[in-house]
Amino acid sequence: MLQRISSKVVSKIAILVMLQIILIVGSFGVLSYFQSQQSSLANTINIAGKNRYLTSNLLLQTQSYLDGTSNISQLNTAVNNLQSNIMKLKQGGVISGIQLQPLPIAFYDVWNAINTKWTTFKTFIYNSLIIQGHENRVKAISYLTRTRQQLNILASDLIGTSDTLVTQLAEQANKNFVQPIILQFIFVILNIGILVLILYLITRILKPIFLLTDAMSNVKEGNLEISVNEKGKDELSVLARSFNLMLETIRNSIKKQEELTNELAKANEEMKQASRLKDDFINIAAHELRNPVQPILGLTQILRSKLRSGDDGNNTSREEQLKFLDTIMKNAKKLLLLEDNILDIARIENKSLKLNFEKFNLEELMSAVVQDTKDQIDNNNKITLQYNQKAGTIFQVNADKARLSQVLSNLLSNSIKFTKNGTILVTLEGKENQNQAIISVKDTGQGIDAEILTKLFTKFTTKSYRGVGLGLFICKTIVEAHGGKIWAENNSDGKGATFNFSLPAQISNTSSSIES
Amino acid sequence: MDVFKRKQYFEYKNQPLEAKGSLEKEPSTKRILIVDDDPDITYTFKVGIEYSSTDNGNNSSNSRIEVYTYNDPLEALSEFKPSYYDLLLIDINLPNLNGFELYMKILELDINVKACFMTAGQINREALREIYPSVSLGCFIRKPVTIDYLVNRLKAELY
Repeated sequence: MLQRISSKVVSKIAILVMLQIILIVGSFGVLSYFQSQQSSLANTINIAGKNRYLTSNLLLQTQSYLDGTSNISQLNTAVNNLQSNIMKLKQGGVISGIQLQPLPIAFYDVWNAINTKWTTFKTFIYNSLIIQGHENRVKAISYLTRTRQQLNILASDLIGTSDTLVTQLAEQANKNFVQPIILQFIFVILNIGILVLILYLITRILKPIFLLTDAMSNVKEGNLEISVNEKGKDELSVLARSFNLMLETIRNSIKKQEELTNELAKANEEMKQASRLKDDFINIAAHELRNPVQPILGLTQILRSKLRSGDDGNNTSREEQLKFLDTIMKNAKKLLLLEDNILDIARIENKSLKLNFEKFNLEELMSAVVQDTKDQIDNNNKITLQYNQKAGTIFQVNADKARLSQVLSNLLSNSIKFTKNGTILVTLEGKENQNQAIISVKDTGQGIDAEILTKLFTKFTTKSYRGVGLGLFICKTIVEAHGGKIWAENNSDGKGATFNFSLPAQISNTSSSIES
Repeated sequence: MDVFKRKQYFEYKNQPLEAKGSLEKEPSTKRILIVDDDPDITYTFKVGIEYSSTDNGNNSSNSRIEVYTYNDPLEALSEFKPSYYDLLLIDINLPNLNGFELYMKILELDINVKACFMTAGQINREALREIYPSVSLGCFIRKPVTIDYLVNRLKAELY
């Protein structure tokens, strides 16, 4: 509750309401003042009017006294009554149970006139009636007549003057009556004016609420790009500020959400791409696995038919049969190689590729592999396969024999694949102090396409339509697992390419080892 | 290739022929052109088809089939003889020019020649129809196949 009271908006409105209350109370106060003024004036008029009655009464008493029908004390009483009435009229006090206010200063002149007339009257009465005594009453009738006349004149003078006072007082009362009406009118206008002002001020104070409701209905329709005027220092401006901040937070979070969605979409796209690549790989792999089966299937079937029908001599020669079998074998091996490649890839992906290290002489392995390859070369291709090795040098390595053979075979079969006719030169080199053997396979074929040169040793890279593009990737993995490097470049003379890889090796010259 | 035209050709083929410009051929001999980049496969098919067409050694001239093979599509295209072959058997995955494109180029030279397509991979007919709407995709062979199946399939297209 205390918080509510100390609220700025509430205090602003409270001030305005208090202003209004003050105004109303004030107007009431002013009215009451005028009311009391009026009633005291009425009392004064009343008393002033009483003068006439008292004066008439006194005159009567004097006449009665002169007639002898009343005594001096009655006369004195009447004189005293009028005297006290006139005095009280000016001074104020309690008369007949009413609290009389003193006579307003404005009427002092008239009162002085009354007082003068009264003094004259009083003096005459004293002199002519009271002092002279009883015997004068029966004396000359003419004296009495003169006295009676004088008394009448003085009395009517006094009454006249009193009437003047009464009239003046009445006029005053009338004037007093009009004034408060005018004032009241003014107050009403003022009140209405202040009321309108208060309403306007309240509207202004509460304007932020209207702005907020408008803004809210905007937000409801989905438009978040708005802000409310947050001028001022009271709670409503705080509310407006909070509203703006809230909208900004919402806008930011929506933006962040959109960004997130975009990133997710991108990531999803990349994942789909990777999955597509994987699917492509599987498709290509499946494709490649099926091809070699065809000759195996077909030729075995033909061979069987021919042998079963006892075909011999003219239609089928032994040469042809041998050719069938060679082709079957060749494709079976091809199939095996492909399956091994795919398994290797699977193991590499799974990080479960195992190498069996043993110490052996590299040059022996190399010449064996080259010889094997020579035997397998298709006679259609006019390719010469040569192996050069530094004589008298021993390259001792600690490596996986089978895997190294695989690498070399792969490089050789690539060279053969991409060389229609020419030479393939295999060399083994190294320097004693460097502890590194470098194996090169140089061909004179069509070279490496510029566009795949940079991704040569990655998966799915192949320019051969009969390959899956895994061989070099597997070679790279194996070579690097041995602590070596593999690289390739096109030959500087423009004919063909050279593939190289290095291996850690202990190189010694046979001559030097013999000596030692 | 227009299905109706093909049907006409088919019916026409069942009647005794006048020579269509290939004078060296006996009426009942069919010629097949096979294009595949694997020489072992072309070799296998050639031997297999020719062998089974000679009815396992008996020289009946009932349904002889001559097989011509190419491993390079560009070579096949450059040496193509119109109105010479009765059926083409084309591998889809060829280097330099894929099987469909090769067939479409051949159609420019010989509008009537039929073709069967082969592949070792998956066949997605809808995707292929979208890319090559003009190629009739009625005959598809998925490698590897037995020689028997191959010959029967090819004979269904030839006769």
